[in-house]
Amino acid sequence: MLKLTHTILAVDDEPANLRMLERLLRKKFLILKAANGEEALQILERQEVSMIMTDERMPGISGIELLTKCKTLQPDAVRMVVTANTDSETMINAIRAAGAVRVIIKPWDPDKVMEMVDSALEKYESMIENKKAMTEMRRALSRLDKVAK
Amino acid sequence: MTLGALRLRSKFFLSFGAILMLGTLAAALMLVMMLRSSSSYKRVLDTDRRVAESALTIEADKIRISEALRGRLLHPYGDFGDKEVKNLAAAYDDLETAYDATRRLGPDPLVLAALDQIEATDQAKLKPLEQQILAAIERQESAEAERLYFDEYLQTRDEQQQLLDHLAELAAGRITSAVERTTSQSRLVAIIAVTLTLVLIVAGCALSYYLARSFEMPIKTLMDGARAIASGDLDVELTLHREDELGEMAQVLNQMVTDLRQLNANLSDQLRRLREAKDELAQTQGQLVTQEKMAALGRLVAGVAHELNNPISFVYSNTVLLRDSVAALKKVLDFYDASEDISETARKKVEHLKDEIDYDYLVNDVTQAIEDSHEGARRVRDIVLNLRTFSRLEDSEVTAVNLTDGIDSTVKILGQFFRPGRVELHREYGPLPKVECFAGQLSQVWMNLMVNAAQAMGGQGDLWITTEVQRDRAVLKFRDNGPGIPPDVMGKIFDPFFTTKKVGDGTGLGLSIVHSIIEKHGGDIRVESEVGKGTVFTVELPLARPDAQRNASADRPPAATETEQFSGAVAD
Repeated sequence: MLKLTHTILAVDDEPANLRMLERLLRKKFLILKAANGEEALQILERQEVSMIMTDERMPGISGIELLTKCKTLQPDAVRMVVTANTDSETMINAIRAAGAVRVIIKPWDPDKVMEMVDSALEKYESMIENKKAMTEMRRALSRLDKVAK
Repeated sequence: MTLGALRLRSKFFLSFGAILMLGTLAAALMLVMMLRSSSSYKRVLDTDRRVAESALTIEADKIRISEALRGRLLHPYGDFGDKEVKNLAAAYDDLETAYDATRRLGPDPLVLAALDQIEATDQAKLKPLEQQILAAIERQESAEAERLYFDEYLQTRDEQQQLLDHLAELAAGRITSAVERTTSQSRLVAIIAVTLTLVLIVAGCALSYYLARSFEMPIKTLMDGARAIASGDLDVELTLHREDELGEMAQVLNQMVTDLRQLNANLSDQLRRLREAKDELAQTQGQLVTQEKMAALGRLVAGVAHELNNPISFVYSNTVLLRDSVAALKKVLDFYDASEDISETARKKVEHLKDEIDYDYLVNDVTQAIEDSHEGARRVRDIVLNLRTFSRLEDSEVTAVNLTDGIDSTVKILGQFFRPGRVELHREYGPLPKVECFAGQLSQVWMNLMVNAAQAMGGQGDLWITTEVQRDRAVLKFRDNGPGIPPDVMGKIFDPFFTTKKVGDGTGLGLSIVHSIIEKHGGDIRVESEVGKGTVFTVELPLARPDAQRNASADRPPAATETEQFSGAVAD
C-alpha cells in the first residue's frame, strides 16, 4: 500500500492516450500531462514528480531522450516508457542510456499497467525512505561529530 | 606417280608442253619436207636442165659436124678445108664429151634409150658415112662425096634429127614433169601442213577439254558439297580421288564440315544449357517475386498493425474503464432508486423519465454494449499483436542457445496450464548441442504448440516433449493425448486465420506464425494425428544456419538492472 501522494507525469503526443492514462490513474495519483518532450521538461523544472510515463515515439525529443534528461533533472523519479516497438536491440541500447527504466508495450491491459505502477511506486517509496533515513543518519553523525569535538 | 597425282601446274605445263612439242615436231617435219622437196626440186631441175642443155649441145655439135663436113666438102683443098677437118674433130670431141656428160647425169631410162639410139645411129650410120665422105674427099672423089653427103648423110641426119628432137622433147618433158612433181609436192606439203595444224588444233581442243573436265567434275562435286553444307546438311563427305590441289581442297572442306559439325553440337549443347539456365532463372525470378510479395505483404501488415496499435490500445483500455465507470454510475442510480428521501412527485417524474428512455433495458444494454465492445477491442488487440509478430520476422539476431532452456522458460511463463490436476508435462530431453536460431521466435513456437495442446485437451491431459539429434538436425516432438485432428482439417491447420476455436477465441494466426518461423530457420514442422488418440507435432531444425549472421553482442549483459518487459501477447 502506498503511503504518499504521488505525482505522475504522462507524456504523449496523442491526447486520447493522455486522457486514457488520466482516466486510469486519477483515482490514486495526481496526474500531470504534457503533449511533447519540451512541455514535459518545463513541468519537470517546476515540479517534483514520482514517476514519468512517456511515449517513445514523439515529435521533437524522443521518449528515451526525455528520460535521459530526466535522469539528471530528477534522478529519483521512476522512469517508464510506453512503446509499440519490441525490437530488443534498439530498445535495450536506448534504455541502457536512459538508466533504469520500465517498459510498457502497446497495446496494454489497464489492470496490468495499474499493477506495474503500484509496484514501481512502492519501490520508489521504500527508496525515498531509505534515502531519508540515510540523510538523518548522516545529520546525526555530523551532530555527533560536532558534539564530540 | 600417276597422272592423277600431278599438281595442277604440272598438268598444265605438261599439256601445253605436249602441244608445243607436237607443234614443233609438225613444224620441223614440214620444214624438213619442204627443204627436201625444194632441194630435190633444184637437183632434179638442175639435172634435167643440164640434160636439156646436153641435148642442145649434142644437136649443136651435130650441126657443127654437119657444117664442118659441108665445109670440107666445099673446100677440099686449102687451109679452110683443113680447118674444117679440125673443126670436125673438135666437134666430135665435144660430142663425145656431151654424150658422156649426159650419161653421167643419170637421166631416166627413156633419155638414155634415146641417147643410145642416137649414138647407135652415130656409130652405125653417121660415123661411117662421115668417114666415107672424108675418104671420098681425100680421094678427091668429090662427086661421090657430095652424093654421100647430100643423099645419105643429110638423110640420115634428118632421121637422126628426129631422134634428137625426141631427145630434146624428152629433156623438156622431164623438166616439165619435174616442175609438176615439185608443184604437186609443194601442194602435198601444204596439205600436210594444214592437216597437221588441224590435228594440233583438235589435239589442243581435246587436251583443253580433258583438262577442263578434270577441273569441272571435282569443282562441281565440291560446289555441290558446299551447297549442301550451306543448306544445313552437315553429314556430307566429299571424296575426290585426287592428290592435287583440288583433292586437298576436298580434304579441307571435309575438315571444315567436321569442325562445323562439332561447332553445331557445341552450340546445341550451349543452347540447351542456356535454356536450362533460363528456366532456372525464371524459376528463381518467380521465387524472388513471391518472396518480394511476401516481404511487401509483411511490410504492409506491419504498417497496418502499427497504425492500429495505438488506437486499439486506448480503445481497449477505455472499454475497461467504461465498464467500471458505468458500474459506478449505476451504483449511484440504484442508490437513488432505493433512497426513501425522494418525494413522490420527484419519484413519479423519475419514473416517467425512466419510461421515456426505457431505463431498465438501457441499463442492462449499456453494460452489455460495453462488454461487447470490450470483447471486440480485445480481439482486435490480439489480432494486432499477432500481426505484429507475424510481420516482425525480419528483425532479431541469430544466437546459439539450448533449445531446452527456451522450452523450460516458456513452460514457466505458461505456468497456469501445467499446475497439478491440469496438463501433466513430461519432458525427455536427449543430448542436444546449442542450436543457432532466433531464440525469441522459437519461444513463441514452443508457446503456441504447448498452449494449443493444452487448450485442445480442455486443460486436462498429458503432454510429452522430447528432443534428440538426427543427423545434422535437432528434432523436437510435442505429443499430446488430446482429441486429435481430423483428416479433413489436417491440411489447413497452418493456414493463416484458420482456427477450430469458437468465434472470438483466438485469431487463427498461431500455427501459421509457427510455420513461418520454422521455415525461416530452414527447418520442417510436421503433424501426425489420430482422432481420439492424440497429436504429435514434430519440429526439425538445422543445428547450424548456413547464412548465420552472428550478433557481436550476443552475450551482452542487460545493463538496466530493472528492465521489465510486459507483453500482452496471448498464443492461440
